[in-house]
Amino acid sequence: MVLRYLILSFFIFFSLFSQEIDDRFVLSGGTAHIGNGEIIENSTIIIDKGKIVAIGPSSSVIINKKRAKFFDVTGKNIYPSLILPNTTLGLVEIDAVRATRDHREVGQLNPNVRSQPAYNAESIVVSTVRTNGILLAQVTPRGGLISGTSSIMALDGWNWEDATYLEDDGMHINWPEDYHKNYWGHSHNFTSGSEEDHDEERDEILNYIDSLSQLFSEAQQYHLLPNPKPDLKLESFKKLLDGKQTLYIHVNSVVGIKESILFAKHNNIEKIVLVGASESWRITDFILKHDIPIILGRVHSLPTRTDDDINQAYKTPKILHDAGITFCLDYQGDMERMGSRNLPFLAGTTVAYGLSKEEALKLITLNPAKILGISDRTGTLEVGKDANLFVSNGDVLNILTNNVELIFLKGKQVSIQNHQTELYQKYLSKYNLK
Amino acid sequence: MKRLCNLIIILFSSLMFAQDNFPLNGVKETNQIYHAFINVDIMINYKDKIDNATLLIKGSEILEVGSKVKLPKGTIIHDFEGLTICPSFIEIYNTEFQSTVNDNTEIDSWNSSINSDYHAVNYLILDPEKSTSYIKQGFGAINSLSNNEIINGTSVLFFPSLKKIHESIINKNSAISFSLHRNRGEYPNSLMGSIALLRQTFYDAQWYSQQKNHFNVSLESFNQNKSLPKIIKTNDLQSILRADKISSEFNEEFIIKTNGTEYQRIDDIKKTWARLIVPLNFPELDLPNGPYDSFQYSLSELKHWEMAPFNTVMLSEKNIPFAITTDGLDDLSDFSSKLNLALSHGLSNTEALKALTYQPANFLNTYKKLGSISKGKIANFLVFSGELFGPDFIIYQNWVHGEKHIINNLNNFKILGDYYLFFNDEKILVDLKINDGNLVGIARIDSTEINLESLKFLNHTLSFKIKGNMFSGIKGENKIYGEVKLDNGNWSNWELVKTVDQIKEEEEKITFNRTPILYPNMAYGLEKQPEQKSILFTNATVWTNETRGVIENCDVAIQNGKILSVGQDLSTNIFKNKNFEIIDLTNKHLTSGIVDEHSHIAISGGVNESGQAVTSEVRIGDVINANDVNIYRQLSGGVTTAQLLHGSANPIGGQSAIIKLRWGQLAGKLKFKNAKPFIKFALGENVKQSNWGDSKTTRYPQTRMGVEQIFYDRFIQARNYEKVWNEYNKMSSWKKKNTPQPRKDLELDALVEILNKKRFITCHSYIQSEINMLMHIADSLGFKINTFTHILDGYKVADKLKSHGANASTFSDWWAYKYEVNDAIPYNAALLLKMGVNTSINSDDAEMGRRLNQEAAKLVKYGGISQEEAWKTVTLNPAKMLHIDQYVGSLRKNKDADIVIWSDNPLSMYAIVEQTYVDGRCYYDLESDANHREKIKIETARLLKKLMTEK
Repeated sequence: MVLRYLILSFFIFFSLFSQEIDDRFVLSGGTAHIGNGEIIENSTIIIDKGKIVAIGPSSSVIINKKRAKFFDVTGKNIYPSLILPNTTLGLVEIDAVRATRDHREVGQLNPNVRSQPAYNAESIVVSTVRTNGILLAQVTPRGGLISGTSSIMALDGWNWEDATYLEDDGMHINWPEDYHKNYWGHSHNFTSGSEEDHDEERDEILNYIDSLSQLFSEAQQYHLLPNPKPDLKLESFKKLLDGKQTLYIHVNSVVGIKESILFAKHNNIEKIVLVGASESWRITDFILKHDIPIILGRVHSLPTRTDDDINQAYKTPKILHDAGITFCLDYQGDMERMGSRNLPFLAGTTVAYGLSKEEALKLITLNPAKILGISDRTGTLEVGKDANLFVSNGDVLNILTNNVELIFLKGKQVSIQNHQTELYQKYLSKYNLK
Repeated sequence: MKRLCNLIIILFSSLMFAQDNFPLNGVKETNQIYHAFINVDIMINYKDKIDNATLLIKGSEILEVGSKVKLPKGTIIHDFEGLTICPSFIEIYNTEFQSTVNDNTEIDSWNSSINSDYHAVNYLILDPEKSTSYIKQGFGAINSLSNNEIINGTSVLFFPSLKKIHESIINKNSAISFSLHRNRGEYPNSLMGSIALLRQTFYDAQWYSQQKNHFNVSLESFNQNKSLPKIIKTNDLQSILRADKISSEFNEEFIIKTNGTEYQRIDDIKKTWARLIVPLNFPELDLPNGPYDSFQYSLSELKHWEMAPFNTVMLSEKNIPFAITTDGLDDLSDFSSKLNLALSHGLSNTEALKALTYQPANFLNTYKKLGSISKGKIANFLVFSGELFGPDFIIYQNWVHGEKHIINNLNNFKILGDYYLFFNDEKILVDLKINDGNLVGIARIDSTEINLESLKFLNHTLSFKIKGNMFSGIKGENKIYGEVKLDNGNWSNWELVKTVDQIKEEEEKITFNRTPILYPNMAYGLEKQPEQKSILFTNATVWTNETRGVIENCDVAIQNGKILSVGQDLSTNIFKNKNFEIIDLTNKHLTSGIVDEHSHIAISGGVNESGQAVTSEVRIGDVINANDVNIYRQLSGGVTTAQLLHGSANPIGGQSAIIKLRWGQLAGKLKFKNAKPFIKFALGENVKQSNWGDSKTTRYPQTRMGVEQIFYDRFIQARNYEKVWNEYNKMSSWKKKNTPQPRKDLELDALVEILNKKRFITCHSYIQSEINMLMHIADSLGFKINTFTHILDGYKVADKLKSHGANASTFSDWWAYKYEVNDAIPYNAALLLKMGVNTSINSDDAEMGRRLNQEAAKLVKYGGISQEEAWKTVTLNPAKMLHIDQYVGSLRKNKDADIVIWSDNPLSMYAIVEQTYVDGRCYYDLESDANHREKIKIETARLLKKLMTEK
């Protein structure tokens, strides 16, 4: 390991001479949390032209301070970008103001609807989330049976084209589920009281599943037609059916999870990811057997039912981890966008309930990168990957010590200031405070 | 009256009195024939029985009952040997005979739910089919009422007889019907609103009776009927106690209609001394389809399924007076099976009969007419065979108001029993019995049971078929005999001879066992309150919130629910000798309990009374829900005290309740003793209904301009109101007598308290303009705004808040959910603290409420507040703003022993609550939490198994 860093660093040393220094940064002395479980104390990281070109113990990396912008981050912590999957960040600005809501299109089946062009690159909410080290997000539409197609956006950019990190990464379906009266607070519309309603719901669910099946079958046949007439809905399945896109199934109940996985397999979908999956902990064997990764619903949640373990949501990550399931954490739900800057603290809670800090860190770095299909470019602090990283004074998973000071996104230094820090400064000076 | 029900053949007795007051159709019937029932056992009331007695009636009146009754001439004699007579049942709570026409008018009352002028008698519809179904179940009188509104006027007691409706009324004003629960769009649309309106109406009625200037239909009726029995409908156990509380406030004695869960708090129900009307609505649960489907049943539902049939049993054990109603049954025909379930769970048939006769008659002050069989009473009685409510209990006749209604053919009674059938050299055991109103015969041939086909008994002739053999014969003295046409065409003779020996196997009696009640009776409920312990905690890092700050290696002693001492080197031996439990907390942290200034947990029937812009009369304290599992969940996050606030739907909301999280106690005992009264105000988007949908644009106010005016207006009214009362109170007692008392207005009472600094405001607020506006109003009227809650713009006006003396209770980092929180910043609390404003962090959310320690930690991250000061924002600071800091909020001698043990620095993400104490009682700890889960698992499994076995 050390030898590899050494060799690389010599290469960097020479190449530095021939470059301009505004896209060349050196971070030295910090503890690098790689994102794959490893840590390098007193590390040196070299960023060049957007990429991490060297990382290793400071003793092994030789640098020329004059040819790059140098940051002494001794005693501080360096992390790869935190990645926020399954979010409406940038699609909605203010919940209560209808004019700012662009996350839910009319209708049940919207496979062709795409979040990417609706993403607001100047969102003020986005800037506050970025400040806490979340630099990449899977911007996801909501509603209906098929909400549409998400894209992965870098949380800094002049416009949506500029901000796009991975276009149209996957299609999102909301699996119609059989939530009984004791289930509540879940995403789909099946939350009612009486037994009669419940029976009606069951029928409705079957109809919904049937309409999903129908559309998937039509899409498959459409792509076999020699000269198809353009059909936006059916056309939008192409990447998914070719295995170039992921099917994100939003589902929570045990039965829903099983049914939906088998549905996707039956339709020959190669890449399947569960989203939410609050009851996945009950059937880890099944999920493992089908090798399905999970974007786990918010860890800071109340239990579904009165009788449940009051800390079930805190404990689920450890269960999934011990079972060997690949999963990451999302923040869907109340205060979804403005609250998502607390993503690292969800991971922190998994530490309180049994995971190691580095395993917990994986849940918001490497694992989401893998699940979203971007781990070749980001997710860890490794040579060759995009320089998506940040420096926190202390442990990023702990509110008490989380304090982001420096941010790099695609190798570019990004401001940690936002609307809120500006107001803070403004009123500090109004009151002559420090 | 057009249709005669095919179930019962109605024979009209020809003995009516007083038929002269209406025109006749046909020729006149006279009332001169007597009916005597002789050789019959008579249960003259629920507990006394005269064997082999005589009952003499004429028309609808009982003339004599006893062993020696002289029969006058002109008496039809009914020899009922072997049969028993008991009083017919009385249905005391019934809504089925009311027409659904809604007669509410604004002429009666300003509020359509105060329908005092309703008279059920005017809306009575005597549907013969319905009447018949009640008669069939043994009922002879029904109390019909409406219960859609809060006050529903009077009920009517009537006979479900089918002949002359105008003679079927027993009492047209038998009781007043109240209902605690009503949910509709307009005011009141919450339980607390209903209670407030009920309370106000009682006051209004008092006021109304003393004045002469106003006329009001509803209050007039209310006062006219004031002396009637008052029946109030409740929907759950806690509402029984709520109803009882109101009844004590006004010296009333409500008869409380329950939902059948009294057994869960039987001793507390006993203490109310209330009379109850109890349903037999024992739940029936479908079998779950699979393990995941079984999640549909919570432990509380399963436990209720098991224990509900014990409800009447336990009520009678405690001598709580109760009447039984069929209200709440899915189908009236379930009545006997549900009653049997109660009996098989231990209810004695005497108690059952009492609850169906004596008690309802007594409750309705009509026992002198109904409910027993004695001279002068109305002839309402049942004729039955077998043991009352026993397995062989068969009602033949239900005499209602002197009219005979046949339930089962009495002829059949003569031939019931076990026989041997002799025919064609065969001897077959045959059992003749009545099943569901039909005569059935069961023959046992080679140990299989077959039904006798086409079984029929006329007055004398019995006919039936067995396997193609056709029988016909007549009843003789000791046997039934006749001819049979065999299946081969030959004729032969047969006879049925009563068996002498006991052939029937005793039916196996299932015994039902009671299982322990939990408090509350649900998952995580407790079998008993935790003990108040004497404990010495040693070697902890103690966050005192006092000048001593955070002390390492510190000891804390608690006793009798209070803190005894806090300090390093408390002598372990001394405490050991005093029998203190010693708990070593090396590497652990100990803090005072978290105080949540803004919570909406544990509230029944709606958090908002949104029917009006000003609802200062409603009280969260009336509707605390002690059964909310969120109480337990908050304990797991170290919360020990919470202010339960009304929502923010209106500028002046309801009165708050400050509670301690004493899980397992009743609502009354959750209240924080000695806490000062608070009230919720609100500003901004919510009160002007900005986000309520496009239809909500008519309630005043719709702008921040209107919000200001509402406040001024109401406070000016309150000042005037106070003046009127002060003048009245200053009068000499002589003058008072001649002056009507001013009307008591609960809404203005609360505002007067605010003006006089006796009630404190917690005001939901966001932007600076409105915050300043409300401070101006308060300044101009001479009081202070105690707390601005949410106050996300607070940092912009921190200096003004400081000089006004307001407290701030805010969120750590919420924003962007509404337009008015666009400038919210996570540095808000830090700036407020730096400016010297007493600031707390609150939850407003049951999920975040158990992570308030983490929210406090955000002050360290956003704004660099010291850990010690950050911790105070969820403990001492909220205690101060709630004026309870002399009891809670820090660790000091004589303060309440509300203590939390943490695995780590409480502000750390990695800290877990290990124990939470309230008043020195440990309500949450990791180990008992695990025990709870194990208990839930075992108990649920046991009940599911039982459900599957019994089905």
